[in-house]
Amino acid sequence: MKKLLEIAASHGCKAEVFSTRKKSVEMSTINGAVNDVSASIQFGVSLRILKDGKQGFAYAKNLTDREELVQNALASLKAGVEINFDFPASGSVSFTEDYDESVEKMGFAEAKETIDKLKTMYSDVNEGVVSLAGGSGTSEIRILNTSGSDLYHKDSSVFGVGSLMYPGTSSGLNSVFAGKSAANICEKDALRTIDYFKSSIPEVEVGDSRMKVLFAPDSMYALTWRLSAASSAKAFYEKVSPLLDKKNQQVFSPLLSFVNNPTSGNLGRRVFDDEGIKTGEYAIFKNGVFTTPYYNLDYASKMNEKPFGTGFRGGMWGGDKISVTPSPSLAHARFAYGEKSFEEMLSMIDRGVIVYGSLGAHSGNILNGDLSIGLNPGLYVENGKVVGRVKDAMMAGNIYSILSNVIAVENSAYYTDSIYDNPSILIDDVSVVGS
Amino acid sequence: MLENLQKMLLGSGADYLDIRYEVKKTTKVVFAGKELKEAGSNRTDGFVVRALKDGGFSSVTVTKESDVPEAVRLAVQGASAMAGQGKNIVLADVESVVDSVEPDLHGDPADVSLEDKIALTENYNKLMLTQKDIANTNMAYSEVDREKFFTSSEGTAIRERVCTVSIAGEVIARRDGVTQNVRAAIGGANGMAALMDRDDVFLKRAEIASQLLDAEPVKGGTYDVVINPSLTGVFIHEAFGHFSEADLVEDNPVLREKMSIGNKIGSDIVTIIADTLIPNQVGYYKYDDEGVPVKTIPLMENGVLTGRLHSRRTASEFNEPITGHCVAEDYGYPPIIRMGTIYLKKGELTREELLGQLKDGLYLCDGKGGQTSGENFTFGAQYGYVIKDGKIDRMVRDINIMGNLFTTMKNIEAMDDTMKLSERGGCGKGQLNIKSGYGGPSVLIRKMVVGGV
Repeated sequence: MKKLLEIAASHGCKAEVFSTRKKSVEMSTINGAVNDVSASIQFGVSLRILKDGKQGFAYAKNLTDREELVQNALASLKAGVEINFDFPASGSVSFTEDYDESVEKMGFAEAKETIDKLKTMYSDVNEGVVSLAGGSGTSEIRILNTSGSDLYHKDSSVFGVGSLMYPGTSSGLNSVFAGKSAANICEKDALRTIDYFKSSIPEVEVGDSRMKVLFAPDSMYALTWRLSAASSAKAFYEKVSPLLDKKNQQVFSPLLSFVNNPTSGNLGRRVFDDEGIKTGEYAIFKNGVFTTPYYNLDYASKMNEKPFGTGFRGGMWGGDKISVTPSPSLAHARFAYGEKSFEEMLSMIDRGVIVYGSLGAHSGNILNGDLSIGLNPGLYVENGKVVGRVKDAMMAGNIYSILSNVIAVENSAYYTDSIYDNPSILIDDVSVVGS
Repeated sequence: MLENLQKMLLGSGADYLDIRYEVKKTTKVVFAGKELKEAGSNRTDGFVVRALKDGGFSSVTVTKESDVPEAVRLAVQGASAMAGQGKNIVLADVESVVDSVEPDLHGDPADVSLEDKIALTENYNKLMLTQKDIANTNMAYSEVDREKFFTSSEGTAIRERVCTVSIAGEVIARRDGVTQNVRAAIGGANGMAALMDRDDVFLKRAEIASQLLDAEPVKGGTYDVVINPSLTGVFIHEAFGHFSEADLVEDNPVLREKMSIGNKIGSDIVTIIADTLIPNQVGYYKYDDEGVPVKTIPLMENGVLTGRLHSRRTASEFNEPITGHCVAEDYGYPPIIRMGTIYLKKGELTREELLGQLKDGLYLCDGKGGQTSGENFTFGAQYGYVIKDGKIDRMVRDINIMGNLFTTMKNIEAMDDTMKLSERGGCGKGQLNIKSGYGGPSVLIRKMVVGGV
């Protein structure tokens, strides 16, 4: 990496080298039979160069030809992408607190052990399809730049997933368990999911009406995508955000705070972002008041603001980090915990739906906050009890009206396959359209 | 390269081994509004190893050539770990092939300078930015040029180059605090010709974005609808196509039974074909990523299931003919079953006759993403119109549709005589597949659940 940096600098450029290395193994079963076994060892490196107010960018999956990589970046530089920032001087940081060396040696046998642990909890599920998975992996990131930064991050993860699919469908409920050394399988969480699964097997036709809707952590991305799109510095810079004139104004229920803090969480903690800026806690929405857009280096410089560690690579769909330049990102944001337990929130529902999964959350006018999603599954609740799952139904609205009607936020969260644990959110008077 | 890969196959101890090496050249030009945000070309590469041993099957991806021996060892180890713990995997027999394939390009993107690609994208981008109410654009030129080398222990050795280009993104209109966006896309797999002289497309998209500012959100409910060809493509892909992929029904006994060949699940007028071999289409390829030549597969004829898309593994599992539809996004992934190009066969009505037959309902236009889960699906429409007594009335927006495959296929009542295939693909079944082409005519469907806002 240092050699690559030196070659780039020898062309009179300021430079940044961003590299990743990932190793993973995974095994999955369907109804007890192993159906997939796979592994991956992936490396990648990208190079950003700055010269005369212009930016060049290039990347590769191997460092077999450093000169080619630099030449690609120089060719990109000539295209004339204008910038007005410098790479940060963040010193030397090595963050390995979330790394356990023993994970390096884990393979298919350990993945199977995780599956076997899950298997005992799911043994009395007799309807639908039971899919279990286990695996482990390590991930490294290194950022070097000509401002003297040398930043290193390494973490490990071990995971187990239990998925229950309703008979004749691919729709169901998941339990995801993960930790840096072990999957940390929580029997209580798994058993609660199994209980809800069994209660929700009957299909219920709900027709068209307004009712209470509880967003479970599993489907929270449908809301957070819209919040992220609207509060991005990019949307402010381009003057297309619906929050453009709403800074320091109440836009949601006071029960809702949406906080970005990459340094907290179960997995995936980051003490610097993908540009080398120190991360920390920032409330994007505090008690329903919109407080600040979030920036990367580029948009912070354009808008004369200070970046606070929200420049990450990858977008809504993830993708290979090395193939994209950093952009404003709330990949580490979650709703702040409230005061009600999940059971208390459930008891507040006379008639309503728990959104455990959504279909089509990526469709529609996301920037505008429009939300029209298939409930897949939507667990139907009457008088505080899960009594079935809704058949062919959607919920619809706009987050700026929906999230004004929040009546409770959960006081804890469970891990899903997104990085951050979100609490459940209960919303009153939401339009549900059914067959 | 093929000779190198063939050497890597030796001495693995596997019953079957294949290695795919891929070089992926990408060129991107990205505009956010009037600003150029990114421009450049890059070359990346990697290896995918798959092993079959004692009925177990495993895959490993690596990026460094020096890691290939470790990948082979891990793949064989993984296959051994699976052996006896699940299904006994058998790969359907195929004839070994030695071939080299170049795409039929009308203007090879490799021969066009980065400066010219920037100028072309900037031209369309500027055109939209100067239209009424347009506040912003996000537009990108994207060129993905893959050179794939596939070798197997059965003697197959194939090199195939596939190349897709597109200029695509969104145009955003804003007035009085209301923001609306519309997607715009041109492109294909037949070279730069697909991108030239297309001002009309971008002007029309900007006009629709502006019109949407005055449109009303659609009211949620159950409607009779006509969907236009672009939306038909998304609908056929999401609502039906994924269930013709053997891996999605394989382990679900109820769905597998419902999707048995010979079952009648659609109305009498529904005929659906997977034809990846249509020349110049975005989904075109000759060999899949198992080295199998792709075949044209009638999936449904007059409402009756007639075919299914397979990998070698599922063709054996289902005891059905091999089809050549096992495709990976790139070197980072093992291949999975994908559609290539899929379309609904057109009918005989004119669009006016079709709207007349609809009488009252919604005319919905242009896809805005879709998703499927089990027999349920959703897809968004970018805009639509209320139809009153067969005539187009006011414009509506914020349209998302949900349906059930088996109910909806029987509710297809008529289609018009148009036929249009998509110019750009993008299916996210585990991996992104930019070579998913789809299309069809305008279609009248009864009783669709529309979410509204």
